[in-house]
Amino acid sequence: MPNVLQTVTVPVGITFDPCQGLREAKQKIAALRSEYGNEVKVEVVFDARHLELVTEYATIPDEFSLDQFFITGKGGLLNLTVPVNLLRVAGTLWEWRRSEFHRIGFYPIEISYIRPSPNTLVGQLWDVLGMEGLIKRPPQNNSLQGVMEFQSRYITPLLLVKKDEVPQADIKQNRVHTYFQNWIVEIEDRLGVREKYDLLQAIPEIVINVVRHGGGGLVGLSVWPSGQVEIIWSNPLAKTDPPWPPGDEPQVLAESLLASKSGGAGIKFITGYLLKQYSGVLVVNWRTHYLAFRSGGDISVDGLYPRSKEFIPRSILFNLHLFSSEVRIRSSRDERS
Amino acid sequence: MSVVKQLNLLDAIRKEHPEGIVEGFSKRPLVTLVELGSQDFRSPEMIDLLKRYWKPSDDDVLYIINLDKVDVLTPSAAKILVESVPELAAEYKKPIFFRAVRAYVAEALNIAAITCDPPIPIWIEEKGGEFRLVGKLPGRFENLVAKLEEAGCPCSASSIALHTTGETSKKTINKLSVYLQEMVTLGLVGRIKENAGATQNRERGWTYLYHRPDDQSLMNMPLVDHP
Repeated sequence: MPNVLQTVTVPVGITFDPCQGLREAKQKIAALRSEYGNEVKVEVVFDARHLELVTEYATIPDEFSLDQFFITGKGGLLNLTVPVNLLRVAGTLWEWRRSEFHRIGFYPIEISYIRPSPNTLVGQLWDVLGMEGLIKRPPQNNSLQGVMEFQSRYITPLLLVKKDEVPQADIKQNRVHTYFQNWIVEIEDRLGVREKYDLLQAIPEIVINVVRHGGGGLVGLSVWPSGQVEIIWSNPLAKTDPPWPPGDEPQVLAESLLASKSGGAGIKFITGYLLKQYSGVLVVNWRTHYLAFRSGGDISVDGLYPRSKEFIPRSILFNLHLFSSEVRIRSSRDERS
Repeated sequence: MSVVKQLNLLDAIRKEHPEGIVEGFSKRPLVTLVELGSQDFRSPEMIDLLKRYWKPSDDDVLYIINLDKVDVLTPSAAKILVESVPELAAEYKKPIFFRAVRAYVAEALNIAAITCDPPIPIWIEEKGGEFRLVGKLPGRFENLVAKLEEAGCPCSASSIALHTTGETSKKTINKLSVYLQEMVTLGLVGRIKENAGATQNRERGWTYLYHRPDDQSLMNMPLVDHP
């Protein structure tokens, strides 16, 4: 029986949470191990067939709440955290698979995916994000061929830093900066003038941050039909000396991000300028915590304390939402006429 | 001989760290200065770079960083500039200003000056020719900076005193001189040593003539371009 590959299915729903995803996968693997012994090999299947686009959206920043998981644009696009969280969970499982190999001498799991149907809007979004390349092993930024080929007018693909690309980061990084810059210029009619320049400043900072944190990081930008801007990026959390973040408490992470003097000026630009200028919110998911940095300067913390380190993703997620009043007024005027 | 030294930042970065420049190939190409140097490039490295190009000497009266053709400046690049320029200006006690600054580059420098809070503001000349300070000017200097602008040419402490208070008592001049000296020490304004005979108020010895970096008389001095 151990030679037969057992299958466990992890549904990917619209509120797919990384800790929940890891818990579901690992508990099912543990159940199979207790039934068949530790030699059992398991195929973990992430099933995204039932993923749906949402119809709700929020563009009024004052109403933003961490309970609203569907921060999307008009037209009902999917919250970008779902595909990013899927990649975070898979990345953590791949690492676990490697460590288990060193411990037991064979790879205990394989990972596969069932994608949403290509004939649906979710399926199209899946393709625009470049998910087919990103879920491969090793992952591929399939869509990074040319700016006109990879783009939609609303969303860029999720660009992933591959481990083998880090040594040549400067050159690769410059290409990515160029792609993003061209995309922003390409859709400038959908942006306010100041907003365009603000994005041209902010995106390179985020790309540099992601590249410098090493392989596994990813970044994506979307300007939803409502004019709401969503920038999403994720960094792997490597073991560093001294460790970062320097503690387990979410407040420590917040202080560490805001007090950093050695790095670039990206976070200060976001928290000190962008959030105020665009009544924005920056949501950070780290361990089981959700930190929200708000335009008024206050920081709120949500989420339970983790019950087990086993179910914590090895990455940190940043999700920045900006609300341009200029574009919102313009788009509602267009709608009326 | 007094000279003004200028650095074209885009050309310098193209030479030093070309990967730090992004030039789009879309319908409207923009030039973005993403990074001024490699990963560990910060204010001390920027100061070293400026010194290397300018090779400062006693003859220098003013330094200019020309930002021509730069459309976008990232917050980190702006931070390095607003931190390093006041430091170097204070070290050499000579003003430094940014020339040909486009609107959103000026805005980036302004935001960096607000978030990084350098000890003195920086001088910029916008693309349209408007000259202004970016950042917070200590209140005690505000009046003097304005008076120097009104004077429009290098002027001595006594002529500023005359212009400001209508009298040139030793006490008034000494008080003004303290502030002017502090501004020179910070690199906020410059000064040139002149024979007093050349000025209106003294006949013997020498005196200092103070000037803002946008003083027209400086523009007639020989300009040394780098790189």
